[in-house]
Amino acid sequence: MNNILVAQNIEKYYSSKEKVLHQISITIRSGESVGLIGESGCGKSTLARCLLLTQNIDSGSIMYQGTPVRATDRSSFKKYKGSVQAVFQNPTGALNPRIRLLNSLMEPLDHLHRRGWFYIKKNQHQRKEVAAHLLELVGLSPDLMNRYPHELSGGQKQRLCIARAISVEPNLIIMDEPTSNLDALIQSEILDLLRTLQKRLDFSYLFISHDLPVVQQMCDRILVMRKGQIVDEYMKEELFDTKRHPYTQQLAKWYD
Amino acid sequence: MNKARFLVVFFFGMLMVLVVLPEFMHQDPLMVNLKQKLQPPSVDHLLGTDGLGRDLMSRLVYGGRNTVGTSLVILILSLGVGIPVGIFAGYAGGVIDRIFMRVSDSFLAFPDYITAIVLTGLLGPGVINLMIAIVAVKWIAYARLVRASLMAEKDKDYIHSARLSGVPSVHLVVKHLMPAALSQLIVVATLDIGKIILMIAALSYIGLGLQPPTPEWGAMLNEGRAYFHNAPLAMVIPGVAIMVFVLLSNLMGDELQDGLQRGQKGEQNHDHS
Amino acid sequence: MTILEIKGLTLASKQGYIVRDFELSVGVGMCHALIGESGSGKSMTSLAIGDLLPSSVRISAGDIRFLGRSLLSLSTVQRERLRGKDIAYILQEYAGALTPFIPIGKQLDETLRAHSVLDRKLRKECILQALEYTRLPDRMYDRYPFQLSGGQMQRVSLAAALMLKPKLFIMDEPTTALDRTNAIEILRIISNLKEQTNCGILLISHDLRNVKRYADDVTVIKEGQIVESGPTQRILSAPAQTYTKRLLAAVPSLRIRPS
Repeated sequence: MNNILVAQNIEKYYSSKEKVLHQISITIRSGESVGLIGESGCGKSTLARCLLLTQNIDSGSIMYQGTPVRATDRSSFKKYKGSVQAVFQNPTGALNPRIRLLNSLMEPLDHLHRRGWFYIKKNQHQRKEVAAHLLELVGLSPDLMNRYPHELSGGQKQRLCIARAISVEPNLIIMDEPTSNLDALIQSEILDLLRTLQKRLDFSYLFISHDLPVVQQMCDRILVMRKGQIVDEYMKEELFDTKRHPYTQQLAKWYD
Repeated sequence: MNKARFLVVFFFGMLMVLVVLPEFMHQDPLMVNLKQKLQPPSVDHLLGTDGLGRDLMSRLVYGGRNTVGTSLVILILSLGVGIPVGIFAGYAGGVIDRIFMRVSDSFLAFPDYITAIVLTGLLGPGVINLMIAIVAVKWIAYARLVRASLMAEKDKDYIHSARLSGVPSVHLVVKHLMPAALSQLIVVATLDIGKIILMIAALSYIGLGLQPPTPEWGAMLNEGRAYFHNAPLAMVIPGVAIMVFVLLSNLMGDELQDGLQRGQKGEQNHDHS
Repeated sequence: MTILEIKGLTLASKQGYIVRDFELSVGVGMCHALIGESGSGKSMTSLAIGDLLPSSVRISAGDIRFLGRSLLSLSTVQRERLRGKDIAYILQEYAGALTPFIPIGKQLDETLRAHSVLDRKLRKECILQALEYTRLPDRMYDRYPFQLSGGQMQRVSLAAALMLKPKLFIMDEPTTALDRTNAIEILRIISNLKEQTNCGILLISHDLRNVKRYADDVTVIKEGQIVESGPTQRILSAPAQTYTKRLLAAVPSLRIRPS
């Protein structure tokens, strides 16, 4: 089991007074399902953005498969492309409303192909077949590929985003509150889907949420975040252990 | 949407008319004939003649080419300068953006007419200088619009997804970010056609734009002013022409704006989670 | 006496029936929860009570009675007066309920002036009391909405509603967009309110955990029709219908490990 992502002592400031992330260290190994739980405002979304290299960190380091990566460094970002994917909280914002779902879905595959879009253009037929296969994998009907985002429900859009994320067979998927906007029935379907896909395709994921039972369900190892700091870390079975941080215990009590 | 489409087609139709019609003019718009001055409409001169005996009809038509044509050229040039600058400022951000904002703030501190007059005053009369002056004033609004649109969209999740998918910056800007900006841009640019026509007319009216004897509707207003009591047509005709085109461009812009807003609302309404 | 009584309500639009033959009643000091998936018609039903249906939807059958009076026989103006004063809405989108560039205190003052005849001093007292009740500090009076967190904004909308002492609260997913701490606070405040003022609460939610804790009765709705209805204890611990069982099974729980 090797390390996919190692983040060490990450610090981030919003302004000179406001420290958002304090000495955050996270390690994610291959095939692992890691959870990050925290209430709103604790900085978990900021951390997600820093790990996805869409925001700069002020100090600390992020290593991806042994190589240091930085938000500002274009060549290190090349390592990320296609190996690390994301699923966001709001599926509506994660899809370009003006573009057909087929093209949004195939965007990663289109661009990660060495020869670029010329190659794909020549093989339009194949492209649609690949898209249909991806849609079926996530339980969506292939006819949806010709539609636009606003024609789909939230659950359907999120499935499409998941299909897009797995299309390039990434090593790591970072999910920031992927089911928080969906109602309970849809949520449980999507979570089942994610677990099934992980078993089949063997990727690691970092599952970020404020909902403890969901994180317990989805992850083997769980980190607890509060006010910009990691206050606890445990394996899922150890939730009710006496060693737990009081904040973790409080969360457990609320959700029980 | 139908109303907007109709207006756009109508506008382009009028443009075509302005382009083609001069070929049908029998009279020379520049030919001075003092014996024929200030004549009422007749078979020879469909709209009469102006103070120097020149045929008003052909001056109207050739003037239309000049006035409307120049305004379209100015529009295209302003877009050509404004859009790239807006893209750099909005997408790259940082120093470039800060410089742009300071420059645009200083330009916007003065009303555009004043700036245009000062510039043409400095550069001297003539079509080229007129164009430079108006472009210098107009490009900023387009740049700011593009910049604002890019900055708003840049941080959205679908852009992050695209980046993670390896989409190169150019493609990102062209296919993902610009379409949002373009729809707004079209509305503003359409409304500006009328504004630019008025600006050209105003500057020519005070002698700073197209120089006589070139027919231009604003200049014609000035020329007809002296004879308004005897032969009002010389002033009324170009005035009405200006009004028609400005009105047309405003109507087009309004309808496009409504159509766009309706389209956006439609997308929001169908969204169910 | 029941505060709210809905009988045989049918809502129709061009696409068909949104809600069919719906019934529900909220008694004095009771909280009745309406649960179902998104798109089931629960929000439309709540809007029908306050005459807030979109123009494309109309009430084709049934009656809605508030304190014994049929609402559908009232004029638009009369229904408007009821809404805000006797019938209060607390919605998921709290941010939309507040004007961004007017301080909180002023907005609450406006609401109070529209519905009561208190003088300025009494109004301010009333507002401060309402803020205290919703566990907001006094300084919130001068703050702007953008300076508030989600939980605080939702409390402000609660404060605005309870100032007028409404008889019925209609809450549509009031805590869905909030995190656990804030959600629990808000629900506790609502629960206290119910006990102290004997108001009725119609709680629309898809979060069964909250429903279990705070609702006396529950109605399950699916595709516009009632699946089952009754006291919360009975329905949620021993559901009769398969759909209800599905809804319950979908709630992630700490104790039960999914297969």
